[in-house]
Amino acid sequence: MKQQHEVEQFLYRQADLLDSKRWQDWIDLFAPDGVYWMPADPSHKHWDGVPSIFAEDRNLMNVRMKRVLHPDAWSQRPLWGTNHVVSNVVVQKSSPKGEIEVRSRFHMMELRRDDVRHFAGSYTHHLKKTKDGYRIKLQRVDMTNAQAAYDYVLQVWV
Amino acid sequence: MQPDRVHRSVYADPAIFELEMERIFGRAWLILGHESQIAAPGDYFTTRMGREPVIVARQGDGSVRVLINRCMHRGAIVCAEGRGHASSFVCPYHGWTYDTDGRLRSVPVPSGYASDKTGELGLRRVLQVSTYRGFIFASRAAAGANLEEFLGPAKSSLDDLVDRAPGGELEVAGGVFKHVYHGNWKLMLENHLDGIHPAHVHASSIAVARGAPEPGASGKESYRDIAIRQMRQNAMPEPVWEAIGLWTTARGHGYMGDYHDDSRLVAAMGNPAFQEYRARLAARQGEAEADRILGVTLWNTILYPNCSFMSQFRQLRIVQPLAVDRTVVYTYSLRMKDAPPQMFRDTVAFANVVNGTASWVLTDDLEVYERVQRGLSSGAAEWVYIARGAGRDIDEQDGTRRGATGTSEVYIRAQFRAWLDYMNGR
Repeated sequence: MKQQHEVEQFLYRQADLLDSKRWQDWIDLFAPDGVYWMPADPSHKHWDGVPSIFAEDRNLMNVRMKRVLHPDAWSQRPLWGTNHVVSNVVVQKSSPKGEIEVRSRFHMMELRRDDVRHFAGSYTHHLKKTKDGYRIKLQRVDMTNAQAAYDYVLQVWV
Repeated sequence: MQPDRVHRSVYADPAIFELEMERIFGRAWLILGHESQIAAPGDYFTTRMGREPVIVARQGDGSVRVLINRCMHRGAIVCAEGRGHASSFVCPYHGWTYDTDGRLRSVPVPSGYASDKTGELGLRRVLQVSTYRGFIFASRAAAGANLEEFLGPAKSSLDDLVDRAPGGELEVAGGVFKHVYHGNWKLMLENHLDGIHPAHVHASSIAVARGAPEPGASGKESYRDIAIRQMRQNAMPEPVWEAIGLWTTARGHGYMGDYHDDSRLVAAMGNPAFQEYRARLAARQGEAEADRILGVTLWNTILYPNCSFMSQFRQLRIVQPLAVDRTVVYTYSLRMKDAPPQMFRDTVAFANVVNGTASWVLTDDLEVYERVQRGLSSGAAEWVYIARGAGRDIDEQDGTRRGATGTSEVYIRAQFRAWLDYMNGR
């Protein structure tokens, strides 16, 4: 029960940092070798070697963050914000060394200018317990509409 | 339309859009995809030719057939899948069943019809289908230029794309990116050869790329380096952009040369993976031919009216107009067969960052298309100005028209020259 509670709190915090645009704090949730991955096709097993919607290590996350914060990031200029809800948190695997794999579901509403978009899908998190709490080794994001045509594109992590 | 300006209605008027669907997308050769997407008999994919939903199907004899995806009974789409393998296409409404060559195989309760019409009620075919070096094209025109005449000098860009594969073979690999933008289909085609816009539209990604860690030395590059190099490349100084070659054809195609060579971007000449790739190319083609192939420095190519591609990272984008202010773009990554796996990893890294559904570069392009569309939907100012370099275009020996400089808007003028020909039935 304790682990379930801790993991849930961690996932909620992850989503809250995104919604509050605290990008650096969000990136800091990742382990030094952590990867954020959103496959373009649900059958893909590994981020390396296939086109992906996102496939970023911390270095690339930093680049994305700085781009988003740049005053000439035109696509960010209109009013923009998101709201995540995370639920259905199920710990799939848990090792005595503190490595766990957890699945959950999310729903994200996004406002851009006067338009609202909705995204939903599943998270698969590979977490590692450290002295500072959980760190993300892999955040896999499977969008339900990964293979549909996106109306516009995604600018920031989901 | 005038030599140096275009009326905003060609981007914003739904009536003109309907005419375009009939006179341009209903007649021009359109790229539909690549043969590797339908390798075996019975393999198919579905797409659109302007308004027409079509099925592109591999036949038992190896040929490719393009069928209008509409039941001859009451008109329903018979195949709703994006791609797959089938022995027949069955309409969901009343079970009319068609062979993959389009022939009507059976209808339920055939005794209900006074005469047997199955011979003439097959799926309608697009008669003009042709491939060029693996790419599938079709035209709904009853007659007209063949595919090679249509491509004209732009064939050289497709040759460059395919020649770079050591065995001369490419395949679509790893899936497809699909995105919609709220703008006219022409806006994307007018952007991909535009040498002025990167410094402005992509200012944010340029700035961050300049501040990013230096890309690794040859052979020690990391995954992100391609992205960093490409975004920095967008910030080339104006004299470099000015010196770039921009060629256009009578049918509205256009291509950009001298933008970079392999050493400037990722696959640096000293890179071990690139060396192995070059060795495989030379083993198949000979040293001199390998040098010639790798010496070609073409960058983006537009095949008017529905395609943009580039050979260095093997990206192919197909444009499908949905409405006057709505367009869907399919982005494919091509893998060179017989090349080291690292070459496709480079393609992937480029695709993810530059063309992908969450890229840092595409996103600002789309924002600008949408702003243009909103601006042009208002009538207070009527004209779009396309005069950069006008009056100084150079007609070359091979029939191309070249911009006086690399920032000329010659490619937009060429697209509208072709547009006017199509719209006038020429």
